[in-house]
Amino acid sequence: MSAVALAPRRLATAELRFSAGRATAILLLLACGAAAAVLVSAVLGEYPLALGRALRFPASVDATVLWRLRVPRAVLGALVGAALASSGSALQGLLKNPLADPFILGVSGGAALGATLALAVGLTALVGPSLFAFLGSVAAMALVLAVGRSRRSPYAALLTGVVFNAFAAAAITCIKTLVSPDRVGEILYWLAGSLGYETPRTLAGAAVLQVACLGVLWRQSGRLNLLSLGDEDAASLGVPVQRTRTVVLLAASLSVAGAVALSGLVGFVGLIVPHLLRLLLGPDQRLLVPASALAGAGFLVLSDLLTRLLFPLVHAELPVGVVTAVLGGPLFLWLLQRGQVPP
Amino acid sequence: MNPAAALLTLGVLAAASPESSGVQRLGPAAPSVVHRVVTLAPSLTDTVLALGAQDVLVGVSRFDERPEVRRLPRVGGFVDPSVEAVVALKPDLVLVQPGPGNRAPVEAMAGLGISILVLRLASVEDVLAGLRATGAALGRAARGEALAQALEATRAQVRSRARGLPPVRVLFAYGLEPLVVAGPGSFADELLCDAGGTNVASDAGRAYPVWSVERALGAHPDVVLDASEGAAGREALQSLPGLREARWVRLPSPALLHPGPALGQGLEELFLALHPTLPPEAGR
Amino acid sequence: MTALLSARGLAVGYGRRPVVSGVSLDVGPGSLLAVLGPNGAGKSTLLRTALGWLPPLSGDVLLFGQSPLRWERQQLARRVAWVPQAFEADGGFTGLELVLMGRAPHLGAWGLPGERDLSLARAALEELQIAHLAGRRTGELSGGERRLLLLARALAQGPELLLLDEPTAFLDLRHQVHVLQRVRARVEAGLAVVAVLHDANLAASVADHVLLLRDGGVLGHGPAAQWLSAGRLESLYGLPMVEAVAPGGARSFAPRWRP
Repeated sequence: MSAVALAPRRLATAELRFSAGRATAILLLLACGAAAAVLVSAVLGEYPLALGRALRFPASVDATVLWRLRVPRAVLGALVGAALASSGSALQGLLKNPLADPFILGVSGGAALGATLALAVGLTALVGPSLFAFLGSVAAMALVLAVGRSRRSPYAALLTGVVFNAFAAAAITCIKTLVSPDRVGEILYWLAGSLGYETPRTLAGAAVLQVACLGVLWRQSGRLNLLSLGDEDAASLGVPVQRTRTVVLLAASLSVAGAVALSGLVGFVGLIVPHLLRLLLGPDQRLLVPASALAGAGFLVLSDLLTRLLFPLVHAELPVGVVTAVLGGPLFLWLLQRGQVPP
Repeated sequence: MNPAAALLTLGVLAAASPESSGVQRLGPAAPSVVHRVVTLAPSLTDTVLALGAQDVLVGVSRFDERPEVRRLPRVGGFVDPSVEAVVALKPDLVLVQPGPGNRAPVEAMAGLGISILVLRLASVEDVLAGLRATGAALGRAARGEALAQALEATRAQVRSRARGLPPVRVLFAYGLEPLVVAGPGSFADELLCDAGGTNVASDAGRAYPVWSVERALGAHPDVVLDASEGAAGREALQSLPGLREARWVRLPSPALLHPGPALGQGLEELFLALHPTLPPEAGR
Repeated sequence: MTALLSARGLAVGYGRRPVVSGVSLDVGPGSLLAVLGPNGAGKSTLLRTALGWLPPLSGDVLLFGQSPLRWERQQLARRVAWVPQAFEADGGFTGLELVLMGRAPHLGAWGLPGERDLSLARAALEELQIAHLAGRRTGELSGGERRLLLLARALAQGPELLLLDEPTAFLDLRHQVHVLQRVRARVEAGLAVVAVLHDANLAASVADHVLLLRDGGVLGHGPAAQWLSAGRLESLYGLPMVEAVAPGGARSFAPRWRP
């Protein structure tokens, strides 16, 4: 089960795996995959869409379903998937922990707590939970960053996040017992994570945020590689360690906060996609960050498609987080089992 | 229909903002003759069926269990109606019970040009308004009016029968573990008052509070109306002092759980449950 | 000859208590300073302060004529390289990728190496006789092989000053000798080296100067030929030592003990 035996399956030279050419090829491939996923997701669903009619008659029901239901939902899925997976990759690199997922920093706890509080108090009758989820995330992020900055260890931020998540979970449980049981159902549904139909304006705003955060993460990816050598090694190679860590945490947290605000807590994407890509492509974050974004987008869009295709069976659209877990888990185990040594 | 789902319905309504009136319209105006109707909650299905308009129903929620709608396609649940499934049915009118959970999908539907009638059915008044509004929307205004008036008559009748009878202290339990009771502002509370009962939980401050067992013991109800599913916790509670002296009555009718046109019948059954020893004509 | 690294009355430590104080030294190009002392004497702490990762508790330290805290990180990294004791890197990178990271201070944000960077990296691997590790994942290598890669990385970095923290730890005898030979060769070519060593014999064979640290202070500092003697080493390590001269002329020291 050595790396040499697996070499023939890899795409390029075994010694130096990152080159502009190879990276471009892989990213193009993944981009095509993501685009294909969006396309398929736009064409299939509960409503029998006649694509020709949708394109030729802009006023028809088919066109409405295509442009105002399917496409916005697919775009949202792509944005959320890209955000979760790319942040997951960056955080796995930064924290040197292959089990890190983007929720580990307390962002998810903050979002869930914010949304739950709002749902419990009834504020969400006026405006959806998204705003409160985002505010909750930002508060959690500020806390984690403040603590993480005062200490030199990378694990301070991680620990703060874990503790905050535990605190938030306890608070949510408390709220659930205090609130009438009917509201609990709403809270649970939101927490499970699902994709809805957002306005073009919301999507545009989300896209700007995610592209900006992804840009920052990608730009820092070279330094992330160096940081994986250890703080002191990285410093000796010219990396501003504290600053890089703060920037990456900030960008990843904002990205996740923006995603969670719109979709709730969709699990597994941020953990499995970067990890899978790592097994296939190696640990170089310059490739992993953008590749995770593209693969995460495609994966979430396809998972959402599956929830919609299952509708006739269960008469409900399952939370997409359920599908990502069911799809991602066994896939990951299979890959591990085939003998790829986790880097 | 199980109490949990019913609770969800009721609570979803209770959460609606106070400014929303009982009847609201979203999206474009409905056509004057409606051929295709989708309902997103069983109470609304019941309303349509009571109006005799079964043949215009084309889609229902997955919680609908009435045999008349067994063959109809399901379009989702309370917090998660599927916009696409509704659109696929090309409805003229969609009947919705409001709640923060389904607000986004319903607004999406309205934005897509579907006519929506939002009916809050949280109190008896709401039910009456709902019957009238739905009747008007479906072109059966006369029938709707008749149903509403029959309901009002039944209610008045029950009230008059209950007047003069000694009040019965009632604990209305939706669930036993945890003990979820009907508090002030809940639907059951309203009906209890009509039927001559005194809700021991009327000072609970919320519509569906969760009570501790001790509080229930201290309330010393005469009657415990048990609307819970399953046997969990019942024996334990029934053996406790303060509760074992009470008369435990299984919920007489599911109509008490969700506000709909069967309200009148539910109210009469409730009255009989509270005053079982009375001959049917007594008190008139 | 300007000193690349100099210190005057330097006290170093974590927090407020100095681990060692009163250090004064000058390291110029083309010379190798060996730092010797028992465990906990402050050798690694001294290196970290020289690099600017710890502020000096008192006294001065100048790196290329300026306080290390005032140097811009990347500029400094082009001139100073550090080979640590511990290997914390992600095991998924290959040997060549690891060594190429040594070129990072000379490259932009993306760290894309050019032909010259690649050949420098390969040359470093050749020089340390570990070219066969270029394609191996570091996670699969032994401790000694990893040390050699770290060394190669530092060489690829092309520094003027090289700080080595126990460079021969984990290495077999042949590699120990080879590494020191290569380092010495570079010193002859103008490289300045500060090496923390445990083995007085190695120090004797490669060092121009030595710095002896003990009990929070400096036991001695000066030319190796003068300061490396059985007597001094006895004071340093608190062990009776014997000195001998090998037929080849190399001096060697050994503790006088019987099991």
